[in-house]
Amino acid sequence: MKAYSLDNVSALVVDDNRFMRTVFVNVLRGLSIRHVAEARDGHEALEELRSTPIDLVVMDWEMEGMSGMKLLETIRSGKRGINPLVPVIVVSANTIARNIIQARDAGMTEFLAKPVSAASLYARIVSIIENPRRYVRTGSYFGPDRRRRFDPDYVGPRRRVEDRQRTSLDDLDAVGRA
Amino acid sequence: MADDKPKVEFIDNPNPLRSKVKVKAGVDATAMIAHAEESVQKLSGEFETIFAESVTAIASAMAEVRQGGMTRERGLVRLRRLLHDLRGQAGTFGYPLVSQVGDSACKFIDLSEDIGDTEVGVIGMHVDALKAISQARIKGDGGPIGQELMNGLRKVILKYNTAGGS
Repeated sequence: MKAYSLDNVSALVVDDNRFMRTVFVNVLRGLSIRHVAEARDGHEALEELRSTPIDLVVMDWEMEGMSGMKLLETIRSGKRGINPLVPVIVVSANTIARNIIQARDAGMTEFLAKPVSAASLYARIVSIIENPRRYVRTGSYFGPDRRRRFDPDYVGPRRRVEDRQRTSLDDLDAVGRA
Repeated sequence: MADDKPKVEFIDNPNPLRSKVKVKAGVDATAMIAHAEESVQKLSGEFETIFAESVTAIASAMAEVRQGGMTRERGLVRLRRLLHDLRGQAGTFGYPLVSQVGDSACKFIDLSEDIGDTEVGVIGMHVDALKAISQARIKGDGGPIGQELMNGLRKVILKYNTAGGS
């Protein structure tokens, strides 16, 4: 793995557990990030995001008061003058699939399972640096493209609405020719 | 027809992080990570205190859960939160077995439709396991004792699932 100089990065840690915030701050400062802001809840996080240029958010998912999901949805909405494109690493000890899918569909950039280590958090930061994904806006979603790979040789089922429309038209065409 | 098609907008390369970082030539990331990990492990003394306090609080919440009624409901919320926090922290400070037991307890609570006396019994076994780990100060995966403990909890949950829950 490449070693990146992260001195100029501004990070925000959001966790309602004081000790976990300290753990994240120590990891990020240990990785040479000089500016690490802290927020105890979603409201403090939104205020920090509104007033300070933040390059990376590391946030807990299960928080009391404003949930991680509500916070992430508010960030991606771009309301209140917040940059909706900021990369967000969602951290949770709850690795039940539905929890991760919820975070993905709310627009997370990366997911990190607790317990965390310096290596696991650094790996997520490197993934954001080296594999940036384009953002997608649809009627019901705004966030990083949830498809991490584009495979031109993909032969599985096509689930997009436009693909299904095309398939049904092709079928009609085939019927017409028969 | 064309107007009915869902509109999809793509925004390319919006990653500001990339422009803020530089590769450190000739530096191994391992050394950087080790430095950061060292910085985290400075908190291990504080975690030992948190661990001991959490186990006491978990035992107290478990006592409420055993009482039933509204006290059970209130105790369960507190218990689940304490277990959740502990599973998220313990592994970072050399107690992966604590994280595993906490994770098993949280998943059992999350996936139980109702918490009756049978479920309370299963949760209680997890709490007893945490007390035993704390008293014996079992670090790491606990070796054969840790394996036996986890296998015991898995068997209890398997038996519960096979019996179709409560």
